[in-house]
Amino acid sequence: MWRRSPSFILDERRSSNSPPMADTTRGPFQNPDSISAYYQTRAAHHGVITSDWLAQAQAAVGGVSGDAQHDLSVTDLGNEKSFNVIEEFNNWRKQPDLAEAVAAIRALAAVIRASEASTMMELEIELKKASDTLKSWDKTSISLTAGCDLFIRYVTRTSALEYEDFNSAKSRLLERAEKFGEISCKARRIIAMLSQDFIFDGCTILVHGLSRVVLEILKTAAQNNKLFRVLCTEGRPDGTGVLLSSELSKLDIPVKLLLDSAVAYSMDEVDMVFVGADGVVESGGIINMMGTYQIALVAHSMNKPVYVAAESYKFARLYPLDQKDMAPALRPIEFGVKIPTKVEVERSARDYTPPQYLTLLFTDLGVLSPSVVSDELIQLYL
Amino acid sequence: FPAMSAAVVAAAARSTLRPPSLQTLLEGTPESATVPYTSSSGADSESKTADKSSLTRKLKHDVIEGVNQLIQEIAGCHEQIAEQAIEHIHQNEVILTLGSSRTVLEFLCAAKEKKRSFRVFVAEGAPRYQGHLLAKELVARGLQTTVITDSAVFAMISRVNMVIIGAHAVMANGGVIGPVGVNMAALAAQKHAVPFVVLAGSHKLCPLYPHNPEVLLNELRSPSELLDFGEFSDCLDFGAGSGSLQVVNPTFDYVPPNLVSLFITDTGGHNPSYMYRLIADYYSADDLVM
Repeated sequence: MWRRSPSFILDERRSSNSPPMADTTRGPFQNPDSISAYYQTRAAHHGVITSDWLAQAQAAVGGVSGDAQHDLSVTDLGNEKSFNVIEEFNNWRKQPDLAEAVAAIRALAAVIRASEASTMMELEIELKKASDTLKSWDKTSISLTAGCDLFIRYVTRTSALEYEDFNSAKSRLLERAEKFGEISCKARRIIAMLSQDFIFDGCTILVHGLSRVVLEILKTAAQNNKLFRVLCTEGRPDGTGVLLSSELSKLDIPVKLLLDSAVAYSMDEVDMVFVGADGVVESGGIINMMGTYQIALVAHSMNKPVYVAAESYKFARLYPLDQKDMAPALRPIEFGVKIPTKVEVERSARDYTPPQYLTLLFTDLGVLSPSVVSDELIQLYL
Repeated sequence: FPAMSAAVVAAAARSTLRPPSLQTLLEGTPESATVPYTSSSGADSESKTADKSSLTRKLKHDVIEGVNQLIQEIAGCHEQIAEQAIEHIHQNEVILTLGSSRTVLEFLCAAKEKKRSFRVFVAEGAPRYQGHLLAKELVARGLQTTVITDSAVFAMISRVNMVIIGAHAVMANGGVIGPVGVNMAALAAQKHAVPFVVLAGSHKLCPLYPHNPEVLLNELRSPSELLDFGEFSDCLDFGAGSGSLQVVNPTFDYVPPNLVSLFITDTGGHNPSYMYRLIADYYSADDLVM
């Protein structure tokens, strides 16, 4: 009697009526596409370029410079400053080894350095504006939002605000900003060191996605002469598996590539699962590349531990209740053949893994179990 | 940098990322006031040594006080845990326990004193058979006791209302290190939806996360507890060439946190996922260098 209503018909009708409305809600610095910029960056780093993406990237570059010129013509000092933040951010972001949040942190530190404010309040307002600009540039990136928030809190909540002399207070702020940047940079080394004990000789590790933190962990384990082998999932559509396997074979680690669908088939020979995270949410769950939830479910049903490696700036104040409860991050998916236009494609780039399927999280704040995450979040955000 | 200091760096990162607490900000000013004092009194060496000795005396006094407090806590934990017995053990219940633990003994006796009548199944806890000692003690205090072998735990679990055991150590993730055989009891309890309660004084909390608990935190005792020396001496002789017999006698078992229903400590009853908080109370993050 109580069947699911065919709401997908109503949803489609509603969405076909509303695209003109959706465009006007975007701010002036919003990316001109609905494609998630975060995943575009990662695709760029991974070197996976599709023809669509190229066309869109070209359109985007044309769009942004158009916006920038429009803004330069406005005589507001604030707008010029925020244009600089995005520039700075993009410059930092291009380095493949640098995490997006760290790039944002560096850009914000540069804002403090370049600021011409003369009072603390003004500086704070400038910083807040720059952070808002960065956040609105890509609403789908969790680590960007979380990194900006944490940076602002860390930098402004200091006893420096008691100093009479503005310049010394500003230099103290800059000091704290640099320190935060340093911690974030060193985070990967710390996580790699903390997780060494969990990799024992003769173990088989399943890895999903190309997380630079997990790569660092495996590199360090190889340097410590541990014998282990890695199974990596193919990671469609990003092709992360191929990239990871080429990186690992350079380090002489035995690697085996699996289809995404072959995970359950191979799970019984696996000793542990390692994944990175795009964001860690309040419940202790993670948001990561599409497929992580599936793997965590399979691992949980076979009693295999799932370890997550995430830096502390990825801790976000989000609490998704189900998979669709987040801002959608869509990315183009190539199937290699032409898909008929009436066929829909699920283009979401990420999923949410609830905390009960995770065993431990390795962060630069230490080894945490998922229930500890909300405590740490409260401490960080206060 | 060396592997051991990764934990220190993580602790340092944790303390720097948090905004300074009100207390440290307030305490900051008197500290900066005393620092110039000690540096300016360099000329007066006598007062400096007097300062130093009074400082060391104060430090010694503080440490001795802390140690005494700890001794008191450890001595008093059994009572505080036993006080909570009445809330957990009800009339006409059947309790299962394994091996012998003083905390469990006092817990059960406290409930008995409050006029609850219940039965106890004691699994003997081979190879040391300490369950036999516990059974004797319980009978002496007037409780109806049944002794069973460890292998009979799964057979009897469906008749049991609650499993109560003592812990040797509690890990940071809520896992329990207990006498060998408790993992079996925990699995049996999970299968039949029987609450698995662990009694542990707060001095048993350990800040480590178990990465290989079966081997790393275990103690392998002498095989003579299992086999008498005379009977098997020819099998145990490797040089004889007639095959070799290995005997493994682990002392402890690791119970993962998802099998534990409740921890009863001297501060009250807690969920396994809450244990890390108690550990943070007792261990400063700066001290976690193992």
